[in-house]
Amino acid sequence: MRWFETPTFDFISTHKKAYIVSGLLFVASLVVIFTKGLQYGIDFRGGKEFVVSFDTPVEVADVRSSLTEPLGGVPEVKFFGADTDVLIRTDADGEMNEVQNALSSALSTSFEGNEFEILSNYLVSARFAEDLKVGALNSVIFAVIVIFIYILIRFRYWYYSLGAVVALIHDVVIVLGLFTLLSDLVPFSLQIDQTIIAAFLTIVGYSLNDTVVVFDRIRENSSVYKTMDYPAMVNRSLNDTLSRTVITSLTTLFVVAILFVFGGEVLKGFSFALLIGIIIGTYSSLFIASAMIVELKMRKKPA
Amino acid sequence: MKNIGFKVGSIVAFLALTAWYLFPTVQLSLMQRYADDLPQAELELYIQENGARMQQLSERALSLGLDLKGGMHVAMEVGTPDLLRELSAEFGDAELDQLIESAYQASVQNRSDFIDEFYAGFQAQNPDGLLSRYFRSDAAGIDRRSTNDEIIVYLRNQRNAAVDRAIEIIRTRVDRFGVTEPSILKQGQDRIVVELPGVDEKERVRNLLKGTARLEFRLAADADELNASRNQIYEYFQPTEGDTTQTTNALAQILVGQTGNAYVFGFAMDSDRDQVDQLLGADAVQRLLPRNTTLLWASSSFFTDDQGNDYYELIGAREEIELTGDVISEASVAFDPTTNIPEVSMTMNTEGARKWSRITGANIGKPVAIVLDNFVYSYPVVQNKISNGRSSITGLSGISEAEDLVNILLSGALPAPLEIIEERTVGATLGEASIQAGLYSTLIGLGIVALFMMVYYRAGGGVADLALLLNIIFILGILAAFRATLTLPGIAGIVLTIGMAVDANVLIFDRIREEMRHGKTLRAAIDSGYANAVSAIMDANITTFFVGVILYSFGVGPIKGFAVTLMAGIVSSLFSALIITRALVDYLTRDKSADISFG
Repeated sequence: MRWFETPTFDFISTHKKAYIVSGLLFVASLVVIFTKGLQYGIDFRGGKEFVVSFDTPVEVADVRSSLTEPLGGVPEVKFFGADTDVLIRTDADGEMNEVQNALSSALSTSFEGNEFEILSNYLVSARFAEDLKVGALNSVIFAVIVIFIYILIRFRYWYYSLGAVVALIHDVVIVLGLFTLLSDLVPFSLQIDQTIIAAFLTIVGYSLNDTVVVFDRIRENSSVYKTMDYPAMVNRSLNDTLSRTVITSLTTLFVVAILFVFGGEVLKGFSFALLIGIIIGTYSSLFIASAMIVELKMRKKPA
Repeated sequence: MKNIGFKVGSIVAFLALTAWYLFPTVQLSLMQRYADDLPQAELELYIQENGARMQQLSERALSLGLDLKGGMHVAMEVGTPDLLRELSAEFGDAELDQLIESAYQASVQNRSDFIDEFYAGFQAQNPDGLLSRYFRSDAAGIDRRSTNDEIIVYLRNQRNAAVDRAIEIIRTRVDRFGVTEPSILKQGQDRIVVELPGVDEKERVRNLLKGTARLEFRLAADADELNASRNQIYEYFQPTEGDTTQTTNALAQILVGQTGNAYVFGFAMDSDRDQVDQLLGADAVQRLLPRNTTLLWASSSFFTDDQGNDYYELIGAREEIELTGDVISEASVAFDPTTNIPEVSMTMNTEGARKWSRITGANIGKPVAIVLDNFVYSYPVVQNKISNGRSSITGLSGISEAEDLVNILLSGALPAPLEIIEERTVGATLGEASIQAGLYSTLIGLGIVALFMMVYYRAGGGVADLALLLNIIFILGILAAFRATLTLPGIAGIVLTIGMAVDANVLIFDRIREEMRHGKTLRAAIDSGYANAVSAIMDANITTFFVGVILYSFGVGPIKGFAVTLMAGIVSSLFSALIITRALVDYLTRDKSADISFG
């Protein structure tokens, strides 16, 4: 079977349209992020979290109202994969034992006859949450810097580095924007925690993978087709690697979709991030990163 | 066909290494599966015979993270501010207290070291001041003439010693509690991370980990003085005439002052105790208390009303501590002969027994309060002089509290309080569900990708699939070799690797197809296909590997597991794409007439 055997798509001259689409998505994401605020999970916000599994289905609102008084504040209550399981997050002060006892006794009086079990519980102190947040931010910034330097060393021109890094930032911001936008609309948790940061760094790695393969071809072709003008040569490189880009994206999308469906509730947010990240990463490798190189190089040395 | 010997050699070596590292894991799981099916009687025999072997295997087997097998992960921080307060107990003043408090706030805010902040704060307030004003230690040679630098070094050493000592104590407590394969590690300067697989008695473990067990023996307050001051204090809260904002006595509302016991100040409902503390804590009220007297709550309720409200007594005790838990040399759980209620019976060392004999001898007919972590557990009236150093703690809630108390008393007191800053507890049920989900995802992912590769690249795809399968086994082998833990994000990393690992083969096969389109023969196309694809493969994988390294160094817990599988996946997929598939493809095309389809 062969797809895209000798494709002749024109990626470079459509770059204006791609810039507009990406620019709009990018700005829209920033607007969503700044107006709604990033939806941090317990890792970066601190607090106490419980996953409680009941024998028979419960209503989220009932759980919330039964816990508001004993916990001294309205807790966040969400379904956790099934209508018998709920995730409860609270900022209640005090020792874990006290809070857990208050929660258990309130639930057993409010839901008499409906046995429940606490499947897991987390506690993150505000101070530790701050540490984790700074650590996560550092790792993302550090990753971007390391990538910039590596590409600079391997490909020798700064515009390769810049093209790759712009594409990465583009991917991460848009995924982050979608995450923030969808966080209340989907029936699973899209809060930003450590696992999501891991997903983001994986998206960074993946998107980079795509971009680097194209760059490698550009480098190779630039010595093979010396007479060809630069935009055409870059376009040819994109077409040369198109089959590989599509196949790899497909196989990766397969497994991530499987992870999303079968991977269990704990990995829902993680696999969702990867799912949209891979689509956007593939798009940015094809339409943004290489077009940026052409743009930057042409501006540097007017043809 | 060059280098074929090297390739085959390295494949065999890699396979052998993987088999060597995965062998304990496989054997252990076979033994466990066999043991699970045995009836109880045979099982005991089997464990007796093979327990040591299984223990040995499990030390080398691939271990599962707490998120998969269930258990508790607890990170704690040693309270350096309290340690400093304790070290300066003799010379401390309000100014030092203030300094410690603001240094703590600053260290939280700037995420900086507490001792640095403390020293900076001290210098800002006393440009020429000497820390030796507050800290002395004969043992460490810190005296009046010690320089500030010497004292800062001394404080740092004390903190390190406190953390090390806390780790020792926690290890003893955990061992006594009986957890299999616990892990207790120091993290950073003042943090301790404890991992306890398979524990589900969360409440007990939390108490056990941070329990300070400060045991004190105090004399009871003077009954007449206590009575007199109680009247004055109630008087103090009596609303003044004409005051419209307050018409009732605030204290009388929540604290009942009439009790049959002359040493009890009053009693209050459980939920009102904080408020009572607040009212009585006011300076003006404290001045009305008799000298050397402090009020302490009883540990257990003495009365429950019709509505199920528990009432607790507030007991008057002397401020002086006659004896502390340091003198306890032995402790054990005992049962009250008449009521059969569990209690802790203790024996003191020689010095303690001598003091105890003097104290009891001088106070016959009066109560002695046995105080644990600022709660009065009992205040028995001394019947006669006790000269054998015996005493007991009663008023415990049950056998497990008694057991844990014995454990804590015997492992020693923590040098400074510990604060739980992170706790992740996963029940075995959720862990099992996660393992199932991870296993399904891996198998389905593997199946779909393998099928796709065979359809798209025909024989070439089949070769890549074989490499993919080996790839997963290699990843597990690498994890076992580095003694890494398999976590749920780690499984996600393996599933992701399945999708990404074929990338190298896709790059190569596409390149071979391209070379053939340019008119090369199959053999020539294979040679140049591999040669030309290598640089793209290396660049793409090295950058992703960097991401893995960064994730590993910044992430904690389960995320580290993800980073490890990601990195292991990159190494093994590079190996399988460049060495294994190449050797297979070479082998399949060894004859000039041979044909292999790349679709």
